[in-house]
Amino acid sequence: MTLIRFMQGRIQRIFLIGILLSLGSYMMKADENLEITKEFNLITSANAAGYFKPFFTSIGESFNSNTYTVARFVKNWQIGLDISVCGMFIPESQLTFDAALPEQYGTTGITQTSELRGATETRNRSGMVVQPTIYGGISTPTFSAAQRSRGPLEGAKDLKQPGSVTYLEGNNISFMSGLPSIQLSVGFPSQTRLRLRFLPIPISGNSATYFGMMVSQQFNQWVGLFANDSLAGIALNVGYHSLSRTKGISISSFAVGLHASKTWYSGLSVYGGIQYEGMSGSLNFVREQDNSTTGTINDSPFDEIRLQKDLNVNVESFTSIRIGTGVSFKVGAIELHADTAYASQPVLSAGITFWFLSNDTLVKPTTQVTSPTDTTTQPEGVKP
Amino acid sequence: MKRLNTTSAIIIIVAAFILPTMFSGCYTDTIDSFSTFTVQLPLHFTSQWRDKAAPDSSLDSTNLNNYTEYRDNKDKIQRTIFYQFAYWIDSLRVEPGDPPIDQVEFDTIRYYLFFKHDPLRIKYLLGEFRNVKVKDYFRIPHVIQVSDAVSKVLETAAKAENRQEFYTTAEYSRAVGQPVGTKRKFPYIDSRFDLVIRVELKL
Repeated sequence: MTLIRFMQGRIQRIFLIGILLSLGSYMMKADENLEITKEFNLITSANAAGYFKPFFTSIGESFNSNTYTVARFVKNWQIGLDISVCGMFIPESQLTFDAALPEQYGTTGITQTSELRGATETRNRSGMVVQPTIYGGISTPTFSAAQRSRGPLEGAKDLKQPGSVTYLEGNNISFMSGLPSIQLSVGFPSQTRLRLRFLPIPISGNSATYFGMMVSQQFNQWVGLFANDSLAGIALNVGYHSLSRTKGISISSFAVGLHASKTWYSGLSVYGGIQYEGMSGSLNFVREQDNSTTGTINDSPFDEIRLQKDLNVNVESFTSIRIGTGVSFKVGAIELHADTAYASQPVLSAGITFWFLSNDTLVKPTTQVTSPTDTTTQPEGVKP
Repeated sequence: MKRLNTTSAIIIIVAAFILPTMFSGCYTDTIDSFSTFTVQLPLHFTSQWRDKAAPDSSLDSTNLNNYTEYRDNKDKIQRTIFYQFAYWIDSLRVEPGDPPIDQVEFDTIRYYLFFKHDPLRIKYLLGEFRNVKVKDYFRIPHVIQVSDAVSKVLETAAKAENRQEFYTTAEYSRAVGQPVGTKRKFPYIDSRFDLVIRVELKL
């Protein structure tokens, strides 16, 4: 029990840190409204969505990891506590994104621009430009020389000259630890498994809430599959996750899939599955006001930054399909599980389940020889 | 059966200790990765020469404390890295009788940086533009990346006390075709110099 308490305490602490990271707490001051601080103020809503998309993908994959192991459920009540962790490998394709340039860029009558990448200098690019995501490296500024010497620019409120722009840099991350999960696992006599996650996260008196619910239903027995092998199973699984705060955070994720498993009497199981998943939502920040009349915010060619409009970030994930396989090992009241999955960010995950109520003792059947040519085996299964 | 249980127990115990340690290491790495964050700040220098002669040098200064993004985070700044800069000419006028603007070319324009409170007043060469034809630089930015060597030296220098204020100086060579030892006068040269610094913040 001491070990359990130690692990719970340790993982809860990590969980909190993970969640706070996931909320981008390093770039906000918590208040009734979420506020983005000045140093991160040089990003627009559209570019923030692209910049953070791989990060949101990691969160979505965390939500939908460790949601199933074996697909064979006994016709008894079971109650357990599962503590799991996961991590994602970040593919190269998610180290950069197409960032939007100010709309005046590319119109050479208004401004001439240049950017330098390696030894190549590119002029007057318009539309999009490749920049690092939060997992990427160093960003590339675009320098802008206004073509009008004086006076306001038509169609751009308060902007006299479209100046140079910079972008946020990435943190050079190739492996991202996912959110640890502490979940209650309940088995029903209907061969249904319910997993529940719930965690309130106080942020300066206004709490954010994470809630997750995953249901798996074994169904192979209804369609006559593995009728002679009670240690194999196929189950349908669905999941829903929500992360929300009264103001500023509204994220939800879903998953639906199939998984199958085969168990041996040693307690070892292998399992695999395919899952369709997605995530959507938004993060809304107010910008910390900058009242200076000069400076990068005041001179930004992006209307949204210069006018200090709210930052509204769409939350999306790259991941839609996940194919995974894993092993589980159960002895007594303890079950260890580890799996790997192919997704837009390949996932490694592992965990331990403590079964407080479980009547799932595997009993190896005895063999009876009834004739030299006819060998039959007693039905395999679970000791009642 | 007893042997299996013993083996299983050992596996469970070992895994129960190894897994948290292993994953805890991964989490520590992740948290470390997010412990700093780098933002880029564009600093603007507008240089206005009046009745200047080439070769000569201009002098512009800036104080990073004027930038709220810098000033408000001073205590969190781990590193200040001088990254890229761009130069262009906004306006230039020649003396009557001198070759027209589209024929004006400087051999080199060198940009240096020095810190206001550096007692040694060391000048660091940020970079140089060669064969500067005014028509090619007329409101068209040309970009140079500060070399790694200079960037490292500046980064170290910038860590010292009172190094938020620094000067940039542009040294114009003589114009092409201008006889050695003479000075050519320009009624005015307006130019821009944008310097992007990378500021690493501890979060």
